[in-house]
Amino acid sequence: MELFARTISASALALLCLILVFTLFSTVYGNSEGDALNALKTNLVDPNNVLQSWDATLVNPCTWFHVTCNSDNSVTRVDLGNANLSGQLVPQLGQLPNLQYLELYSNTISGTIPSELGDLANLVSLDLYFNNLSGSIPGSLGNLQKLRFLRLNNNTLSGTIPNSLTNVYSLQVLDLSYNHLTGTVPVNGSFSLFTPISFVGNYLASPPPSPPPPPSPSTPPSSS
Amino acid sequence: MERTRRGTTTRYFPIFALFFFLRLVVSLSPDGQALLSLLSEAEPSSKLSSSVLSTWNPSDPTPCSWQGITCSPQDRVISISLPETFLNLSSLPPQLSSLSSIQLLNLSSTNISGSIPPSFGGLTHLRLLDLSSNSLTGPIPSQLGKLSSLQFLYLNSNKLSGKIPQQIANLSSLQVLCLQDNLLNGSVPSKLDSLISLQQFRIGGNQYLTGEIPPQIGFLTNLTTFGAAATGLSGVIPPTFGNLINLQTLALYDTEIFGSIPPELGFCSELRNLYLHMNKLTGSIPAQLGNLQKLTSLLVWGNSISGPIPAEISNCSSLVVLDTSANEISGEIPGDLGKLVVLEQLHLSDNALVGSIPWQLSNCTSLTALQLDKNRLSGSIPWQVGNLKYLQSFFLWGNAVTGTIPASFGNCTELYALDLSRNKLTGTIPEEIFGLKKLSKLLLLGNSLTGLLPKSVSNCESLVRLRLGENQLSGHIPKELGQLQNLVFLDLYMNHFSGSLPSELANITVLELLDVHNNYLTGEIPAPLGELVNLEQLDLSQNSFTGEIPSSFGNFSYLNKLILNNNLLTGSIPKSIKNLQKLTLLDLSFNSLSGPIPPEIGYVTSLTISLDLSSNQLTGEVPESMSSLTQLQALDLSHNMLYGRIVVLSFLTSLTSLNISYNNFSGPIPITPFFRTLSSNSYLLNPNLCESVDGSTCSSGQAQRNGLRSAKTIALVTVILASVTIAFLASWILVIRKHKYIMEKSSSMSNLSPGAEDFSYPWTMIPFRKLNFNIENILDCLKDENVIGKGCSGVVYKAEMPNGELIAVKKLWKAKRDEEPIDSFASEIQILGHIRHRNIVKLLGYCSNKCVKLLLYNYIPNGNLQQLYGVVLLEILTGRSAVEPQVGDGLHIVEWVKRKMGSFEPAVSVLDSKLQGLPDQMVQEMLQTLGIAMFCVNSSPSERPTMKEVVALLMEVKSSPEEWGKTSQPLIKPSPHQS
Repeated sequence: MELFARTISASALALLCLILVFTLFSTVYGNSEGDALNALKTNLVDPNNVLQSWDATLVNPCTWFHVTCNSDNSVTRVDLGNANLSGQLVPQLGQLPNLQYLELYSNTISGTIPSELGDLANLVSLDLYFNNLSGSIPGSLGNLQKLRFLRLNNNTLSGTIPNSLTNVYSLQVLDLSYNHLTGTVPVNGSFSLFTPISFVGNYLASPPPSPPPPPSPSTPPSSS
Repeated sequence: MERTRRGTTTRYFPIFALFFFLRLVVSLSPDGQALLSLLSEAEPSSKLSSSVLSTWNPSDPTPCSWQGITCSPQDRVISISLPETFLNLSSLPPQLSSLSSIQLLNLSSTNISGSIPPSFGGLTHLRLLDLSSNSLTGPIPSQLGKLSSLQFLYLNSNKLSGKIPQQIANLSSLQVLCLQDNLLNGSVPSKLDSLISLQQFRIGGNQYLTGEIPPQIGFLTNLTTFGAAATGLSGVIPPTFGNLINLQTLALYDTEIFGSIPPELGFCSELRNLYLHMNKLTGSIPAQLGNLQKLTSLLVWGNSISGPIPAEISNCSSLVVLDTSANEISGEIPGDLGKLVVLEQLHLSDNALVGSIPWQLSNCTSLTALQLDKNRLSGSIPWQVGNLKYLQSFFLWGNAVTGTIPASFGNCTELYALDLSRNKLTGTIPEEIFGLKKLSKLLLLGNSLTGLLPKSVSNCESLVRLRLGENQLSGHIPKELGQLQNLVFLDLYMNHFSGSLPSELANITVLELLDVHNNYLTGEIPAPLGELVNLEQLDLSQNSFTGEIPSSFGNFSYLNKLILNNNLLTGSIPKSIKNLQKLTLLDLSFNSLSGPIPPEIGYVTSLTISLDLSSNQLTGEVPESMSSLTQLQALDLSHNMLYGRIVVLSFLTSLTSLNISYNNFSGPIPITPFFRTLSSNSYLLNPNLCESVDGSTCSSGQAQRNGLRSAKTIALVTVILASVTIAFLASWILVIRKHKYIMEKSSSMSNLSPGAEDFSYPWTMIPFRKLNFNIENILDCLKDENVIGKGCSGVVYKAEMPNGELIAVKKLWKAKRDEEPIDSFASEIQILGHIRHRNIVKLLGYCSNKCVKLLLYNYIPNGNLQQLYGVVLLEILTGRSAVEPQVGDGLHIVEWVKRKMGSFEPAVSVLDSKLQGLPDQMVQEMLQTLGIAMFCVNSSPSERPTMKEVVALLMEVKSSPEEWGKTSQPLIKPSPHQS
């Protein structure tokens, strides 16, 4: 939008009209999932044209490359690892209610992790490692009760590790290494499984204590 | 002037020599000295490269000949104009403030950072100040408010922060105020009465600007442009804007403004561009906008505007772009819009429009884009659409349009995109469409189109996307498609195409997507398809293809997804598969593929999404090389004839789903965390697989192949175990029957809850696998505090064994008179002991003495207990035991309830007949509780609620205390610590 304003400052209103028209073409409405992914596309720089098939006029994004849907034509996967993408993530990604895999690793995506990713109730895997992401890890990720893989390593994420992540009991693999994280490493809840290797290469206050013995095979339900 | 002076110095050389240094330092005028500050910080190299600055000779007496500088007759600098000169300064030199005569200062796009010196406020003659497009930071100095002569102030496109100083509003001569694209915050000054000359007021692109749009702006009647787009401004559009009779452009898009569009805007008779998109506007489009005869662009998309499109809009005879997309606009499309003869773009997408497409739109002969998608339009497409000679794109997808596709589209010779998907169109695809020389996208997905795909499709060589899926097209896929050399996407899926897949498709070298799934295609997959080296997605599934998978498929070096399931393919999986280095998903399931899984599959390390080889006739072992597929997330090898050990699967650390059931695998099940989360149906019907503690040896019982030396030993042990079991059961039945009469006589006593004396009889313990505890350990745990549930057949305890192992112990209620306790017990142990089913907790063994029977179950924290709890809850509600011997169906209670609930019987019939007569409210509560129980027994453990959630759910089951009082047998104790 700022680009628009500059164009006007050049008092080239005719040009503005052209740009507006162009922009409208790129925001034609697919279904809401298509819109969400289209928003991602417009915020990403894609030198290799891996998003070429993301045609916003399609009725749904299920035939887009690197997108996988379930039998109800709802998006379950976005696989864009190693795609030479830069640019930013968008909050609209939170509008993919059946998304299980968000694979955007090994790109040069910058900006922050949208807190709206915490709305992805079915997310199993969030792989954003090896990018240029900055800002803090959204506490909302603690809402992801089906998350098994959370790999945010090798970015420039700062701030503290949100305590809410310790509530993600489904978590099997956690890698926050090589960021700019500060504060302490939580040791309770789901974090009792993880060893210092998950947190190495940060500015964390002290290395986390060696992990406690594996938890007893059950957390006894209060009395059932 | 300068030349004569220089001549003088050369003539009088000694004098020059004398004054040389003085001259360098002193003789440049003070204005010139001040200007040199613009050079001082720059790197010499950059100065030299700038042709402008090369003329800035410090030895000149005045700067008046320097490029970009203008002087007054008195040699005072009155203008600096250096736009787009690479000054590269880290700050604006305060020395410039000494240029007291300066009237015009233009340093736009000169790569200056730092802040604006407040001393600039002293340049009282300044008429133009342009510092735009730099990297200036800090606030706008309030001192600028003293520049009483200032007419043009351009500070846009910097990184200025802070508030807009109120003092700016003092600039009574100001005509242009451009502050857009900065980081300004706070609100817009509301005292603006002095800015009577203002024509352009632009503050857009300051995303931190908040507050309302001051209504006072509406009194700046000279305004031609007001821009506040992409800000955080909120509130309503002030109706005072109706006074802005000179306003040409109102840009208020992408803000937080709400309310309705003021009808007063209809008085802004000069208005050309009205940009109100991406806001939170409500209400309807005011009919008064129809007065705007000069309006060319009306953009209101992306709001929550409702009501109809006023027919008066058709009076805006200059309208070129009308975009009301993504609102809640209802009613019909006014036929009067046909009067808009210069209209080029009509975007009405994503609204709630009804009725037919008015044929009058065909009078809008300038239309290039007509976008009506995502509405509720019905009727048919008017044949007059062919009058739109300039139409380039026509989007109608997602409506309920009926009838046929007009052949007159063939007259829209400029058409490049036609999307009529998701409607109710019938009839055939008119051949005329394929005569369009510019058509690149034809999308007709999801209609009821019939007939053939005409051979003439090959005429439309411009086609890039041909997507005809989900129709009822029939006949052969024309081989002429092979002539479409620009085709990238070809979707013919879910139609009735028959015959073979033409090998000519292999000529479409740029094809990236070929999807013909779910048709009636037969014959072999043409091997030449392997020439489609750009293919990224190939879906031939759900047809009747026969023969082998062509080994030429190994040429697909970009292929991402290969989907061939549900065909009749035979032969083996080609070894060339290892060349598919981009493949993320491979689905070959439901074919008749035979032979082994080729080890080459292990080279396809790109396989991340899914590998599905299920329901074939594959034999042999899982190749060791598959251990390289560490990124694979889903693997299905079920329903084959594979055998051998599955250790290699433990290397697949990314798996979240695995199915190897219905094979002949053997040996221990890996013990990785993932395998621990798997339900047993993932392994079902691999009789030789066994549980393991260390991951390499079997830990127990009948499947302990590795631990036992010979088949003889197995046979011996089996015989001994079996005979002991039978002998025990037989004698036990006899004993129990003998005691039956005694028990009947003392029924009053036996119905009391079992006391400690019941435990004192001698115990027998029959383990179904090796157990590391004894009966004493179990009895120690049968205390009230360990009760985790009660059912009509017994009480369930959680029991922690000395080695830390947790088991669940179910103590059966003592026999009632009219029941055969031994039958119930025997049937439960018989069935539960041998079935490994996802809904049934695994029975470890049982114990009994004269009075008490105990069943020992696995206690696995990740869900099985919840399931157990669910089973107990179901038992309470239905009055059935987990396994009901009387009915004879042998159905486990979970299956029984599921079957009942799936039938047409009223839900109440699931409940225990003794409960059905209770007050309606209670029955409702029980049904809610039944729902919770069914949650707990969900077939997928990961879907089951935690006990915490169960508590919360049970608390939701509303019940007043009085209601509890009406029943003698509370269903669930209402206290929160329970459950």
